[in-house]
Amino acid sequence: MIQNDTSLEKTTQTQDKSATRHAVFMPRADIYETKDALVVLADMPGVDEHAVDISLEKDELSVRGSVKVPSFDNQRLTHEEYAVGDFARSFTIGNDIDRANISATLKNGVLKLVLPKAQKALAQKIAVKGE
Amino acid sequence: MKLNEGESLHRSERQSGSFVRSIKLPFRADADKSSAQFKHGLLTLTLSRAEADLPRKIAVKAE
Repeated sequence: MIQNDTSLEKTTQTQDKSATRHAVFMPRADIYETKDALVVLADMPGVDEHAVDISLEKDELSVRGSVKVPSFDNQRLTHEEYAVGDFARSFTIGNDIDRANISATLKNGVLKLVLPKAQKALAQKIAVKGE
Repeated sequence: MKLNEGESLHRSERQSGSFVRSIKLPFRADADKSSAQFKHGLLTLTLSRAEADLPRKIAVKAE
């Protein structure tokens, strides 16, 4: 199973020590379960595949996508609806996931994480030896 | 999102469907000199201001 602890609000990255204050948003995600895997789809517009960092530590899967803040020379911002920032989100992964085979693809700014379910251990028969 | 048989949705935050928007511009745009780019889910529109709509200086003649 996947759980996560966050709301859809913007989160400020308190550990970020960089000089520029860069907003960090939590990407909206859909999570669905197929016969063989859990699939996560996360919207991260403006992020390309080289700007995504996915790490798995213990039972936490962390995703971070960085977005380059656009700079406009000789241009004046007249209307802003869209706040620009990085994306970050963490998920708690259960033991029923085959961690070695987690895969990620990024297309059109949508990250797709496939978390295959672990092969269930075959039922074993245990022979009893006479002592 | 379409789910096949045997699949279930655990969390749904994203929206699906088409995106539609009309924007009124502060000037007329020259369609021949305008361009659009779609990359990584971001649409960038560059709309060139029509020649006729460029600001003009009006000379003041002495009387």
